[in-house]
Amino acid sequence: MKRFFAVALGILTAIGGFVDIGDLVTNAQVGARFGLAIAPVVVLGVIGICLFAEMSGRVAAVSGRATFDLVRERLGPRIGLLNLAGSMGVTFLTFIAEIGGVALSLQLVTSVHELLWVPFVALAVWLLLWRAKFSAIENVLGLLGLSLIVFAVALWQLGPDWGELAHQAVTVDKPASESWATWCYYGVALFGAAMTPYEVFFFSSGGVEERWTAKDLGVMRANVFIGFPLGGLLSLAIAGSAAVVLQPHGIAVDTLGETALPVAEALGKIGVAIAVLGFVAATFGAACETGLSVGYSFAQYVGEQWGKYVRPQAAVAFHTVLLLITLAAAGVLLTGVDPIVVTEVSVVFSAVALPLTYFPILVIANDPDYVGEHVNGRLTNLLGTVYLVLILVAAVAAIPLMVVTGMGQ
Amino acid sequence: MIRVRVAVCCALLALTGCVPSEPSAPDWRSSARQALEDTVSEVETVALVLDLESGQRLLGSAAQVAAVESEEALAKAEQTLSSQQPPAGTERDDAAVSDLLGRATDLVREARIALTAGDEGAYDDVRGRLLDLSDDLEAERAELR
Repeated sequence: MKRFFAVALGILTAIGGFVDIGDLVTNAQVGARFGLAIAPVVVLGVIGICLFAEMSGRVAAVSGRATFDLVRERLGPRIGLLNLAGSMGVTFLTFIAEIGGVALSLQLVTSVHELLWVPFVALAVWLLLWRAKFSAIENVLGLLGLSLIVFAVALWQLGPDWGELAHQAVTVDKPASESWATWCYYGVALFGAAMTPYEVFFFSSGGVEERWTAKDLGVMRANVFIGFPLGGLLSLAIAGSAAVVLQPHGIAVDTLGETALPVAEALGKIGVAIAVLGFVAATFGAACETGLSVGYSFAQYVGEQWGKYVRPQAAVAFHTVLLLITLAAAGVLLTGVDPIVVTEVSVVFSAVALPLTYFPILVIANDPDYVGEHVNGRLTNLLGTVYLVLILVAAVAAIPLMVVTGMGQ
Repeated sequence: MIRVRVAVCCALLALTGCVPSEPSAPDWRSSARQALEDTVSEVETVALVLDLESGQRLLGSAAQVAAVESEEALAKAEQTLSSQQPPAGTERDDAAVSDLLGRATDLVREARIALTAGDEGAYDDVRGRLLDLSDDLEAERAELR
């Protein structure tokens, strides 16, 4: 029974923790402009993140060591440094966007300007990272993030033409007013949002924090293969509700408030309250995850102690990085930069950094020195190779598409 | 020599920063279409917000926040276009687009005032005018193609 609850809790937190500011904004933007025409990319991204999260979780459970620790050892300090710089840069950008997302969510219900919220949100994130237990952060915020199921309820309540939505979802097409370059830009952004690098670092480091062993592989796989796809369905529900309510009006999503309008239309005040709770939980949870991921990556690379199970005095580098990035993120947001723009940039640069993140994981998951008999099977390697090609294409195309389309204009 | 080059570069940068950009007619039309598209989005957002607020479907001050954000976005769209020098031959289009963007700014401001004051009696009227304006914006956008 205890094991059943552990599996159920893991799945629920995986669903609730799947969506972050990048998913919220990008899915709503895409739904409002393209309907569900880019939905296959979300499916592609979810399969990809499941594939690589399972690999990194397996490596953590069997070797008892996290990704960066092994990347530097297996591929050398130079490749490790490249990996560290790319992934840490993108994760820090995402961290800024998440803190901004919390501030924007609070602005929605209080009308107090986001800039006034930023210092308090940053302080709350840092205090949580400093004081709270790892399991408390993961479970409480993950479960509260389940509030975003309100988007699926809203979509059902709106009573859309399901046949039309399904047709859009399985047809590679675009509205006449949009160009294929814009379609590709948002496709790459959605792919980057779904496969954002921090998710695998957080997942594998979290496995080490929770002291997974080979016996936990079943629970880990249940979290990944049930929790993540259900989280992906939440992303599709956000896009679907935007497609039903916002697209017919020609409303492009530029703010977090616009993301919540379909819920207001379908479910009224209670729905909006639940959606805003979901926004706060999802962005706050992701802020903690991204913050921890930056700290994990740095400390693992330099070979210092890290993690929430280690006393702060014993993990000085880890906690110093957490403090510095929180201060830096608040500083960046206080310049007045739009958190939505930071989010848009972060998902595109996530796509650019994908090969640096996922290639080393594929290498390590095939090394019997680290995972023994639990090396990748043939199917996993085939899929991993196909995904590396896709990731490479997305990484190469991301910045040219951003320039050509003027960030999807 | 290097100092002279740096000084020339700085002077050029300062000068180019003081003059409006002078796009070609097709580029200006593209910018104008984009400004109109952005404006339609904001006008429709505020119309939807008024509709939802009159049905008591929005929480707390979400309606006011949305209206203020739309106002800010409109100002940005207007400023982006007005910073460009309209090329010769686009005078009629420039006047029409400027007029529409100005009307949108005024009407969204009116909506924000009504929402902040909680003047529910005005919601339907302002919403109707926003939707009419949205049609005019779309018509002008089609004209610019």
